[in-house]
Amino acid sequence: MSELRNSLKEERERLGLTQAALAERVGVSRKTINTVENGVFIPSTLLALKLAAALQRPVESLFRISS
Amino acid sequence: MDTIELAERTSRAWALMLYLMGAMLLLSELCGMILLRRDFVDGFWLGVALVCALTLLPWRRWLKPNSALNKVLEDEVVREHRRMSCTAGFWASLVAALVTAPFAHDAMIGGYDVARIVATAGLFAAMISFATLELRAAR
Repeated sequence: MSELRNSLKEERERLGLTQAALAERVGVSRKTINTVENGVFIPSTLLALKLAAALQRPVESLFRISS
Repeated sequence: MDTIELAERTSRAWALMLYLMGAMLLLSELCGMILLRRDFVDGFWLGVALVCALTLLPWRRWLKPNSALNKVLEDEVVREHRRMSCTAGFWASLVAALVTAPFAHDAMIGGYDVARIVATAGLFAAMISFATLELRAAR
């Protein structure tokens, strides 16, 4: 079964951002960032693109499918 | 205090309020069924149930859709939690209806009591699951 994995936490920490700071950049709550990082919540395409823009990374480097 | 922090506090307070409202709803239903059958208790249950139903609606988004705080309080995760909790409420109502149906058929429970049990089960399950999901996500 395929699973969506992400490197959101690593990329956020690379920029020295807290979850709250990233949430503010993207315009969502901190719990949204927390649940995406933990793989509990799969973000919409729109949110994934916003996260990628906020972290200055292409979206495919943040999210990948692992089987 | 910035928007994110304010949203976090509001969201936590809201979740705790949902637990409280859920407990009030359950207690008023139990009081009505077991202890007293008075107009005041019935009216109190109806009032609490109506308020509980309103807490499950995204009224913040409807009232002030352009508010920065409301956008954060009604973001993707909150919408997903509301959808999941309403599904839980639907199934709880369905189970409550199926469990009480035989008793209502044999006239052991009146139609009004069945309606109250079904509504209480649905609202209670939806509110508690919404509050739990919100608090768990904020950890």
